[in-house]
Order: sequence, then C-alpha cells, then structure tokens
Amino acid sequence: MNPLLAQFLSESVEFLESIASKLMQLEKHPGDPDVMNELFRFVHTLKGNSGLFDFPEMTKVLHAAEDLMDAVRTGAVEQSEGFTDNILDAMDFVGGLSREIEANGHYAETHREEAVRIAKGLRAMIGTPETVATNAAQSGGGSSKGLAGEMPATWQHVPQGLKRELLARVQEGETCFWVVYKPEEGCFFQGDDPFFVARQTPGQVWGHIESREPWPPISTLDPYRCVLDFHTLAVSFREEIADHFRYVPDQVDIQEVPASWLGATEERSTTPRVAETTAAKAAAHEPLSEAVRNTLTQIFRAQRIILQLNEDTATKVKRLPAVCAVLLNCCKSTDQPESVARQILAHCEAAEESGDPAALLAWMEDFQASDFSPVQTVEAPLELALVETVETADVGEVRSAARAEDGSVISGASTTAKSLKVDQTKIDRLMNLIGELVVSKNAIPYLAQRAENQYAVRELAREIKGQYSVINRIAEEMQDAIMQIRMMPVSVVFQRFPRLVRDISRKLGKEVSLVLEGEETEADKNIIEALADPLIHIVRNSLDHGLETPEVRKAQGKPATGTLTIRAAQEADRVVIQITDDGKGINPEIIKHKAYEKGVIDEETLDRISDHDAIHLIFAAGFSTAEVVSDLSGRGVGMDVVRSAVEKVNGTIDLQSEVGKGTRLSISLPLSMAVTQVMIIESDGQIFGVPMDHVVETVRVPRSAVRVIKSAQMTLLRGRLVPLKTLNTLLRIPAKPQTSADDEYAVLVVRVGTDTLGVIVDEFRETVDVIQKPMTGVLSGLQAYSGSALMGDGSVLMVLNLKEII
Amino acid sequence: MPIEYKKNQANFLDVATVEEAEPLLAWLQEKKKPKVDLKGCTHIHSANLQVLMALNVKINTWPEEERFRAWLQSALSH
Repeated sequence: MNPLLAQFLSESVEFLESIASKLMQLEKHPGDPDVMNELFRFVHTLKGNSGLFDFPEMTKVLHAAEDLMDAVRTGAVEQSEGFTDNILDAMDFVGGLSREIEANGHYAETHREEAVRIAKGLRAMIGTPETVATNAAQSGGGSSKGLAGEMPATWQHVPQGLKRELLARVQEGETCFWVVYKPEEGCFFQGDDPFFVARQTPGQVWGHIESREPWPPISTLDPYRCVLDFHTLAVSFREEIADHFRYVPDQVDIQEVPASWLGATEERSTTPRVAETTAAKAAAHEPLSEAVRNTLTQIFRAQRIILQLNEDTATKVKRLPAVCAVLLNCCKSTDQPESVARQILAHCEAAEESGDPAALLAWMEDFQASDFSPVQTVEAPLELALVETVETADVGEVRSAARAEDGSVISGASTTAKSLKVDQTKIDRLMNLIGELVVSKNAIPYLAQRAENQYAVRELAREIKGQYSVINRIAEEMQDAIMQIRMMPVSVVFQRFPRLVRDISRKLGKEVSLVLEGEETEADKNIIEALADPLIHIVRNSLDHGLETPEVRKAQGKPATGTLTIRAAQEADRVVIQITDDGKGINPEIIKHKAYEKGVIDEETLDRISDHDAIHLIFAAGFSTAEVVSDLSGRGVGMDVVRSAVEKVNGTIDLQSEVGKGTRLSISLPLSMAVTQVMIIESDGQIFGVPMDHVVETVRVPRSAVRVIKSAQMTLLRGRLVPLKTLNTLLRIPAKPQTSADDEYAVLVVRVGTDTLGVIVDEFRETVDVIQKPMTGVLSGLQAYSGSALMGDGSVLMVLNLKEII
Repeated sequence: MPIEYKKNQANFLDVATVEEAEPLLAWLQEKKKPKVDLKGCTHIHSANLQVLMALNVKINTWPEEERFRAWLQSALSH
C-alpha cells in the first residue's frame, strides 16, 4: 500500500473518532458554534483528503455530510437528533469503507448504491433533494439524456467555423457534448479551481465563461465566492466527461449536441456513417453509394492535409503510421481488393524511409480519381478548420499535460508540519536502546570501585564517578524525553464513550448523562491501549446493571437521568481512573449467594466474607450476574477479564458500592511500564528484586516481637496485626532467616492486592531502575518470578512475582 | 511571484493561484487605469478570473496558448 494511502487511512480513523465525539458534544450543547466549526473542519479535511485518492463514493458521502453541516452551521437547517443519527451513519459507512480499503486496497463496487442512498439522505435534510446528483450517481456522471432541442443562450457564442467542423466530426460518428458546469459558491474553500477543471474537460474544443449574476460594486466584491458558470463544448464520450466531473456530478449538466444545432439540414444529418454502411454492404464488389464516396473523399482529404502539413521530417514520419492505418481501415470497410492495401503499405513504408510522403500523396490522388467519381468540393472553411484542429491537437495535449502538473502545484500548497507521525516500532526501538543505556551506565560505578580497590588509583576512580554523573543525567533526561513521546492523554480512550453511552442507553431505554473529567491526564501509550477494552466493559456493565430505568429511578426519588462519571487523575506515579454511577449499587448478599451457587466460594466463606470482599467477587473467574446473557454485557466473560487486563499492566482495581446509591470502580495504573523500580533484597546469599509498587515499607522487627498464632507468624506494627512470611520458606530455600547483630529481622512490608503482609528477608539493599525482561522459553513456566533484569555489574536479577508466591 | 505588479500594469506569470485574488483585487482598486498582461500566463485560478471580470479590467496582452486565450476572451473581452 502506498504510504500516502496508509497515512490517510490511519488519519481517517482518528478523524472519524473525533467527529463522533464532537457530535456528542454538539448534542449536549446544541448550536455551540465552536464545536460546530470544529466538527465541520474535521469532516471537511477528511473529505479533502479522501479526494486525493480515487474513492468517489467516500468523497460523495463526506461531501454531502459537509454540506449538511454547513447548512446547520449557518442556521439554514435546524440541528435535530436525526441530524446526529444521519451523520453518524454516514461516518460509520466511511469507516467501513476505510477498513475495506485497508484490508483489500479498495472497496467493493456494491457500496456505490449505499453511498448514493446515504448522500441522498443527508441532502434531503438540507431540503434540496438534488435530483441531478442522484441521477448522476446512477448513470455514473451528471447528464441529462435526450435534448429538448432548445438551444442554450450561450450557444450563439460558438463560432460558425467551429460548428461546421464539429458537424463534420459528428457526421463521422463522433459525439459532441455541451457541458454546463455550475460550481457551488464555496468551492474555492474546498481547494477547487473550477476554471481548471473546465479547461481539463476531455475533448474540450471550445469554452465560455459567464457570471451568474451582475457584478456587485467593487467594495462589496467577494473574490472567494464563486459566481462563474462554465460552458464547454467537448468531443468525447459521455462516460469520459462524466468521469472527469465525478466529484461534482450535481453541478454539471452534460447534453449531447444534436446535429441540428450545428447547422445540419435534415438530409445531411441522416448521412449514413461509415460503419453502418459497411455493415449493410455485405456484397463484395457492389459500386459504392454516393454517401460512402462522400465520406471516403472527406477522409482522404483530411489525410492528405495531414501529410501536407508544414512540419519537420521527424514529425511527418511519426504521422505516417496513423495515416496508413486510416487508409487501410477505409479499404477494409469498403471491401477493396487486397492489392490496394498492399499498395498503401508499400507507399507508407517508402515514405517512412525517405521522410517524404510525395509518392503516397500521388497514389492517394490517383486512387481517389479513379475509383471515386468526383464529388462536390468540400467548402474551403472546413478544410481550414481541419488544418487548425490537426495542428493544435498535439500541442494541446502537451500543454494540457503541463497544466495537470501546474494543477498539482496549486492544490498541494506547502504546509509546514508541526508534528511528526512516527511508526511506533521506531519509538519502541529507541526506548529499548535508551533502556540499555540506562542499565549499562550502571556499570560505571562498579568500574570506579574497581579502579579504587583493585588498582588503587583514587584519582581515576573520582574522575570516572564525575563522568558517570554526567552520563547519568543525560541518560535520565533521555529516558524522560522518550517517555514524554510515548505519553498519550486518556482522552484517546475517553472520546469513544459519549457515542457508546448514547447508543447503549438508547437501546436500554435509559437516560444517562455522561461526565468525563481529567481527559488531559497522560499515561504511556501501552497503558492507555490496555485500558480501552476493560473500560468499555465497565461502562457497559454500569449502564446495563448499574443504572436503572427512568421509571424506577423516579420511584426511588432519584432524578430520572442517571449520571455516569469517568474521572482520570494522576496520583504520584500512577494514573487513577474512577468510573462512578449513581445506580442501584451492588448488593453483597446477592453476590455472595450467587458466588456460592456457582461454586466460586464455599459455605464457610459465605458466612464469613465481609461486604467489601463480597462485592469484589464479581471479579472472580466464572462469575456473571446477568440472568440473561444480553447483547451488551454479561457474556460470561465479565469482570474477571477486566481484572486480568488491568493486572497485566501492573494495575490494581478496587470496587466500592452502596446499595441504592451507586457504585464506584477505581483502576490504578502505572504511568509507564518501560522501566520498573525494584528494591533489591538478599536472602540466603542470593539477591532478588521486588517491584517498588508492592513495597509499603521496610522495618526491623526484634525476634521477640514476632508472635506465633497457631502455625502463622504475626507481628504488631503500629497497632496493626501484620502476618509474617519468610522468603526462604516461600521459595523453598532450606535456610533459616538471619537476624541482624541486634537480633532483629529485616521485614519488607508489602501490599498484594488488598492484603498487607511482611516478608522476612536477610537484608535490604538499594532500589534500582531496571528494564524487566519477561521470562521466555523454559523459564516462562516459573511462576515465582515476573521477569529478570540485567544489573550494571553484569549479574542477573530475578524479580519476584509476589502475587504468585504468597 | 506569479503576479508581478508594475506601475500600472500587472504581469501574470505561469499560474496565478487562489491566494493571489485578494492582493490582486486590492491592487486593482488602487489604480485608476490598471492594465493586465497575461502573455506569460498559463493558468489563472477562477477567483482571479472573477476579479478581472468584475472590474472589467483592460487586458493588454493575451496568453499565447490558443484555447486558454479563447476561454479568457469569452469572459474578459467586451
């Protein structure tokens, strides 16, 4: 796929999302001019971009949407719910097309009718059902068949000589069209240059420009409101002209010019065409009819004129094959004996070699004189006209090609890019490299230590340390910079909610007002992306199970419209997202019993479990509260999927709910997951890493303060009972925990999920930033470790997965 | 510079783009007897054409290319 198209497709996704979110805003604040303008701009840009490619259906729908928006923006059409629905439908259609293009490089032809239907629907809302446009779309271009015979007023400007020439061409079987192009007033703002388009009309032989209205006084003249009409005469095919104007089919009228306009009498206009005559003339040596002779004479004359053109030899030689082909075709159509064809070929070859067509010309004259009885001489002006056409034909082609290039210059006005679009893999690579740098710079202090201890050069050691601090600073800044690049606002995920909430609440017959807060909060791209699906699921759940129908709400004395709040905020180095609804809340009793029924908990737990823990059971695997599996949520893959998705990116999830008042779900996520801060601990002479996210504090507990209750060890910490576990035991290391000289245990207080407990280790070490690599291959089966990291001195640090071992 | 403004004459060169329309209008309004030379011009944007038409500007020299000249003459010669 070409890079431009790839970029267009990726941008179109963004545009469509922005359009949807703006529409939602607009629905909330009808008539807000800022939102409306922005919305219009999005659609307008998207339409403009689509025009770069050959996707007329997409452009057509976007164009119609743009027009409708413009009408709403200017107040010509009222903004209604139908407006939003229609635009959303249109954007969905466009999104579908882009996806198809992305998959196959193009979209199916079958979308054409749908495009017409949607565009028609949009235009119908403006109140001007443009029959021309629909008509055009069906026949593949603006056109009206069958001319009423009424000559347009502009026809009088067509020169007589041209009419005669055209008449001849029409009689030779060509078709001539009268094209009236009335560009819309705002077309300049869409980057159109109607004059250029008109000039490029295929087969254009004549053009006329008129103003639609009398010119206003100079002071009130608006040069950017297009009031010009373009009238063009073109000898071409209807399809070709229609294709040329395919982006503006509603502004173009294409009519076939009847011979009568060109001054043909009835008799003349019925002159049979060569092809027809040929078909009728099956018999071989029948004398040629006068009509055929006339035509042949004209063709011969034209060829002779071509050959006699005053041109350099090279051009003349180039014209020969064409002339030769015409003559041979004439022979074939009139069933001339083969000897004639041979003669033609021979003469042509000779002329090609010598560069002088004199012999061919002489033969033509002889042939004509002998076989065609002399006919009335063709009028001189026609001859002249023909000469003119032939002379300009080639030049015209070259110039129009040059013009096409100019055109691209006009439309491709240079804009300085303020932002770069970079492939994510490039950023990832840069981030990995910086990560490596961060780790390898950690080796320098070891080097300084060795310089001092092993080689006893203190000076050098000091210098190395000095250099290290410089590199350290730069590396940290680099790391910070790359993190900034990867940061994305949560609005990326949030912006799809207004549409989601609107659609779902309508489907469920609920009234919901969505409040989004802290959309500008930023987090790492991976985190944001990992957040999208769980959040959608949570929102669906809230709408489906949480919020009540307006009747129920009113009966309970609540406002009919429920409120769903999604709030994002940064707290220290984490992003916290809260989804709050004022619905019916979660009843722990129901959850408990349901969990028991489904075998998620046993009877003992059922009796003891606290309300807070009970509602968290909704996150347990295999738990789904929905009685009936609905279209929206409750597909049985409920909240446990949400929880595991959040935990995958080292996030935590918490739920609070009050029956009748509502539910609040908080998700806490790290800002970034590229670099992990771990605390190094020592046990039985080995070092391990513990993610700082889990570490609450480090304390020294005297051996005497450790109590044993049943078989579990406990200690009292600031009035709270903290269960203790020995790391050696957890890892099945057959060694006793060591105490310090003061007979104290080193206890690492950690939080796992919602539990707090102390892990007894031998010694605490420093905390370091590491790039955690996942365990791969055979090591991936080791659940006790979440990954490994390379230390500055080259050793490997195993990072403990506390959740698994405790 | 696609339009070269001399004392009383504007010389159009190559392609006059849509951005030229406003300065052109301003220039034409300023001058008492403005003249326009289209000799070196290969295309003018419709917006410029409108301006020339509306002010009924005198065209000194027409473009060389015949069809282009014909188009312009249909709109500008009175």
